[in-house]
Amino acid sequence: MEGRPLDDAELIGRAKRGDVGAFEELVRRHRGMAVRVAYIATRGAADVEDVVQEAFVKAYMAIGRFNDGAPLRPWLLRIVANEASNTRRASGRRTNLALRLAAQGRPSDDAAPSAEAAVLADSDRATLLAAVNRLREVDRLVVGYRFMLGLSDAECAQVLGWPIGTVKSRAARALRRLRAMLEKDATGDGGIGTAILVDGNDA
Amino acid sequence: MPDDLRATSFGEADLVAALADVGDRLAYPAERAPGFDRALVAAIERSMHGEPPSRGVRILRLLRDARLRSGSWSTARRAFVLAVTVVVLLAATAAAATFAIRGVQFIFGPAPTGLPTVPPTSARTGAPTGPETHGAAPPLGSDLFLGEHMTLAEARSRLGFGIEVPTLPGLARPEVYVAQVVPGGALNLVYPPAGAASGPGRQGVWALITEFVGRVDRPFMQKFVGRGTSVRPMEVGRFPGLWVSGEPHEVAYVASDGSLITDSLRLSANALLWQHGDLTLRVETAMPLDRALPIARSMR
Repeated sequence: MEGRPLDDAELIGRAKRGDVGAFEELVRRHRGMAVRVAYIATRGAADVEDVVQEAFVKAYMAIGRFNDGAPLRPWLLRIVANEASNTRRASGRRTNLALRLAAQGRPSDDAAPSAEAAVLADSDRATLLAAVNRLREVDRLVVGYRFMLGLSDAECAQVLGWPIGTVKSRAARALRRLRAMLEKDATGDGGIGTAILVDGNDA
Repeated sequence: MPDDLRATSFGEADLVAALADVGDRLAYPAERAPGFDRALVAAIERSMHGEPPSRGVRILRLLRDARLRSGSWSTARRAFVLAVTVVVLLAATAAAATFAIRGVQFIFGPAPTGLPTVPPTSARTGAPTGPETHGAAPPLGSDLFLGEHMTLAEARSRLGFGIEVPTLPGLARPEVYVAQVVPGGALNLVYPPAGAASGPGRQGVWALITEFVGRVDRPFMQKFVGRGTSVRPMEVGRFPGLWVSGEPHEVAYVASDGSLITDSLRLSANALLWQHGDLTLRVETAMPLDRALPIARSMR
């Protein structure tokens, strides 16, 4: 590569001309979010690596069809999410799947959480995640992509194949359902709802 | 402040912040496998340079080659659209095959705006006002990964296209699902056995029907399905169609926004698909062609 890093568009152009190395650089740039999307989409299945691997291989094969000038990330993530869906469908229903917290309770990648975001104790994170895991599929996906991964509405729309307006309305509904769950939990034992309120207000 | 009061008053911003916090701390596999990047790149290189690719990659290569041969984006996109038709079709069929279900699948598609007409079948049989669950048992299609379970009216509203249903007498009320496997969504109808629809498979599913907008490209389809699968051009009524039978296959397409959709499935049943205007309709079934055709011809 030249002195300055190539941007995605330049790498895409090279990849379209058969430069596998350029595509590898794109993989390195986007694999972190791809893994996260696959993890959310598969509900923490053990074969996330396989899903992402297969998705990137397919993305490489399809890179010639990528529309120049369009953002690459949602295009890639759509392929990943679709591959995850296919994997789940092919493997049948697995009821024991659930999103899980990392053992150390630390950020798993280079994206350190903001001070504002670091609002919960580990036990409260577990409670919140348990509520997320109880959401129905559509709600869990939009909550996961939009709020847990921080994808934009437009990115969520492309990844999920929904209109942006649908993303917004479903995200709002999903948040309401999630909050209702948390309020119910909090009423029972003063749990996550209380923690979010206290720590969130104090932040 | 009492806990119960505070617990019921936390705001959306707090919840969003908490979700972001949790999202940063999930047990993503890359954390467990530091060599993931290298393994991923190596896998891509292997797939690109000699090792036998997966079914999905083989198909994508076929699609790419087709585009290179034709030099036409539109041809390739038609091929992909056709392929996705098969994706949806095969998804249901594969699921049906997994459970040894006799399955039939039609594929419908998003359509022009306007209020869809009431399907004749619904009028005759009395379409359910809520998702059909057939008593206390789980919905028949609940394990088939067909999307969100809803009423036919909800599906009409959600999809925004005129839904066609088979008008063959004696069919039961279908369970209705809407999937987002294609832009604009796809409709899936699961039919239990009833009357003329005899021979239920396991779990009582007799037929699976899906629909979305797409174009059929016969020559490509015949190349696309691969070894072990036969494709027989035919007519469904006055519309061009294909009868596909044989081994499982994987399919893919590129949506109008350039995104890629693929599906990897095991298919042991047969499939009938045809083009009706902008719609690609498809029937997948363990039944022979002479039993699938009357259903297809009765679509209104």
